Amino acid sequence: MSKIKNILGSYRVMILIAAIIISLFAINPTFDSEGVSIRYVKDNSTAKLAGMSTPDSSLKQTQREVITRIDTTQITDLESYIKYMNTISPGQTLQIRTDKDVYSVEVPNSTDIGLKVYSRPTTNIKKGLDISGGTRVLLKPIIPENETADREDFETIKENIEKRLNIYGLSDISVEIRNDKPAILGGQPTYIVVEIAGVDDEEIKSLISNQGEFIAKIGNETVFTGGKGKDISYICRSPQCSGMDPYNPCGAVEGGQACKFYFSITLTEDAAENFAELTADLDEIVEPNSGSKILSEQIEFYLDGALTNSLSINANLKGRASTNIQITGSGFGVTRDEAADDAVKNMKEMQSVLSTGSLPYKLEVVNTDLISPSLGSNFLKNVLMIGIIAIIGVAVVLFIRYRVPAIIVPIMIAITSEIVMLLGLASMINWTLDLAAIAGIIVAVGTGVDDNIIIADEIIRNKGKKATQKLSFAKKLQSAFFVVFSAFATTVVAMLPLLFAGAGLLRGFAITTIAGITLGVFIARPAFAKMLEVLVK
Amino acid sequence: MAKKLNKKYHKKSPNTGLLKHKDGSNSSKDNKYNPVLSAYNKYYKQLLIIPILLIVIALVSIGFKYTTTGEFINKDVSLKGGLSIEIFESIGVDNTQIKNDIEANFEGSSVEVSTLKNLDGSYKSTQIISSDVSGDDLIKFLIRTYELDLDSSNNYQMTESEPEFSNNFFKQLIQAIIFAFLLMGAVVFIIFRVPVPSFAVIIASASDMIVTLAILNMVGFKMSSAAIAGFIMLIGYSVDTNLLLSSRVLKEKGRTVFDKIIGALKTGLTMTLTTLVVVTLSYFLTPSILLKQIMTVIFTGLVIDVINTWILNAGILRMYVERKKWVK
Repeated sequence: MSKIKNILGSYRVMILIAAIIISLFAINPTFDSEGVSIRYVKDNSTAKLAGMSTPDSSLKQTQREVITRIDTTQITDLESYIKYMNTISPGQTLQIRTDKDVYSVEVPNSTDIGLKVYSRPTTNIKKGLDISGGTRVLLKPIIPENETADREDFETIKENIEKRLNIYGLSDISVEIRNDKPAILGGQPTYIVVEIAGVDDEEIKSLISNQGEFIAKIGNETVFTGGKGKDISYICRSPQCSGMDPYNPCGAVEGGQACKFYFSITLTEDAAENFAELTADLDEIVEPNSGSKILSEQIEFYLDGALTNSLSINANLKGRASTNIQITGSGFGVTRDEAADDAVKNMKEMQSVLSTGSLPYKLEVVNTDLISPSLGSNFLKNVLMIGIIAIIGVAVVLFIRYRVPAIIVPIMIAITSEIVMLLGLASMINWTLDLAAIAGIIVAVGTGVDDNIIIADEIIRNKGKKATQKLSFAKKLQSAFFVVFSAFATTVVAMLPLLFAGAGLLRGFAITTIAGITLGVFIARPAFAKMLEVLVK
Repeated sequence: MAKKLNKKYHKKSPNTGLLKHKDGSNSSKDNKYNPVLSAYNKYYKQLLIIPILLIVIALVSIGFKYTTTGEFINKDVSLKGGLSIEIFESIGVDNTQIKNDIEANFEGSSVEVSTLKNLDGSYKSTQIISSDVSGDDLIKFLIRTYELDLDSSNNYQMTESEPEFSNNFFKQLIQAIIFAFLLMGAVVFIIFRVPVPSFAVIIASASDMIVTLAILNMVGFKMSSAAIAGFIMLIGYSVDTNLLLSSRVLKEKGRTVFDKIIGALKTGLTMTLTTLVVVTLSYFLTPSILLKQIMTVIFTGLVIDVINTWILNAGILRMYVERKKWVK
């Protein structure tokens, strides 16, 4: 029909169609949603040893490796994965098949093969913490009165934390520096925000917030300190030389239970020489309980100024430049399980901290959010459903108001296209969709509907008018767009302060709103006006 | 010259719009409007009492709250600090018992335990709020005492904030809102270039927020940072209708002020109605508490906005336009 040709031929509509197509490509919706995607693979886990690896964080969501089958069981979704993993037993070897390869993974005693997965994404839109679940921690370096921390110090802290998390096996992380005020108002870096998707371990919090200063002393003299490449050349994290003490793992102490852990490290030659020097002048004594010969001083391990453990030194190490040292420590809890968990946690922490060294300042945790992902997958479906019902609701109200059926299709196209373009933009710049962003979409779309009503008003009022009144119609349409632009300007301006408030937690909301109404005012609205004009004539 | 004389001559009473039209006819076009609209037209100055009264009561209520409690809004954990844990499993023990158990174990603590329900009335989760206990410790205690298997991949959710940080955050949010208002006022002034109508838009929007806040306070609504976001969204929505009204009244030529207001009213009410429909649907269809909060704030605000736009803002505009005509 000529009307449709007229619409499609108009350049405003062509721009809209182009924008929608580009957005759809960016979102890349896939209809094949079977399987679960790999989020990360823990270092030194059996999965890692089998050859599996954490996907690069720059990979788009739909390009990540997907597990389709384990042994003879099809893995269709997260539930089926969890169900199957609950049936495995230590000593078993799993054949894990993905869309890229097949891996033979041994099941260790703990039955934790070190694999974290999530529901296979059907689009490239990166889901934020509020939707995918995970941990968000806000840290504030405690800076002593007479010192100031500049941007470089914050960069150091950020890199250190990233390294610690990477060593732990996580790569889908986000560590950012936030100012306390906008830079133009003289804002300074004040906070570090760490976001880790899909992690359910509380361990992460102490891992990233501890300053991590590790010192080993003999008789109050420093033997060696933690930190990359300084005194320690190797830290063992594999089961052969680390883990719980096999002979005497746990015992009762006051208030509950305590469990011991150990891991071996290799000292550099300089540090080993140091050890030799410090032990050369010590006396040999006899340990009363076991009768073995030990030295008169113990070796003490301090983490962040607190003594974590002290060990007797075997007499035959006196004066020797021994490079192999065992670090030991313990964990506490009211029950044995608690104590065991605590011990493993402390061990991993120490291992990370010894590798990366200490942070320039102590960090204080000011805010923690632990979000459950089970809300997440339903959340999106729910939002989608609300979106569709809302679009229909709006069309109905408008039809009742204007009694012009021609308005129904354009308004539905207008709203849908705005949402699609916004999501396309989000996919393209790898920006995360979280609760704040969704609120932003709601504002953008709501404003869009309001604007379209103003425009529709003018167009429908003009319906059937004679050609002589065409000029005043053009002017009226102009005045409609004037209101649209005024509203646009005031909303953008109202959002600007939000870009900087409160450690930027509401920043996503402000950015989404501004992006949404910009796309709306410059692309969606003109196209809508054209469509309605043609259809209503 | 003649035009000016004409204008003066036709001026009989403030209700010129009703009795005379620019086309000069003196016909009984006052029958054009039904009784409600006629009253709306005639008593526009008296109707101003309603929004003014609302603002005054709201300010008094908020002021009273501030002087007695030191806060002018009810804050939840995200704004005042503390711990909030939501457990999706049934604990199997009633809330008072849980509260007593926790307080007995953590000396000197004060804890609130409540149950959250789904739309259909079924159990959704148990929420524990406290500002004296640390999250880690409480989780361990719950696992031990009630033999729960808590791991956050499935069955619980937690938020914990240092009060100092939350208070700072809140202050910054308020600063942001005030700043947003000032900027918005500046933009409106640049658009219209005349002080009184710009002022009217800003007062109407400010009143929206103040009255909405007072109402939410009175029903005991606890604000989260999401709710504050809702307030900011409200600025956007309320400004839309006010700008529509002002621009039609000030810029359009060829109709009486009241006609223009009625025209804008029809369009504006449609705008507000569509948003109310969407907000109501979203409120009932989403299980997310945060989204529900945002919807509640917007819904209340929009209802108040109808009064503030079409009685307050419209009233001020009419007085302004009439006065301009007199002065000329």
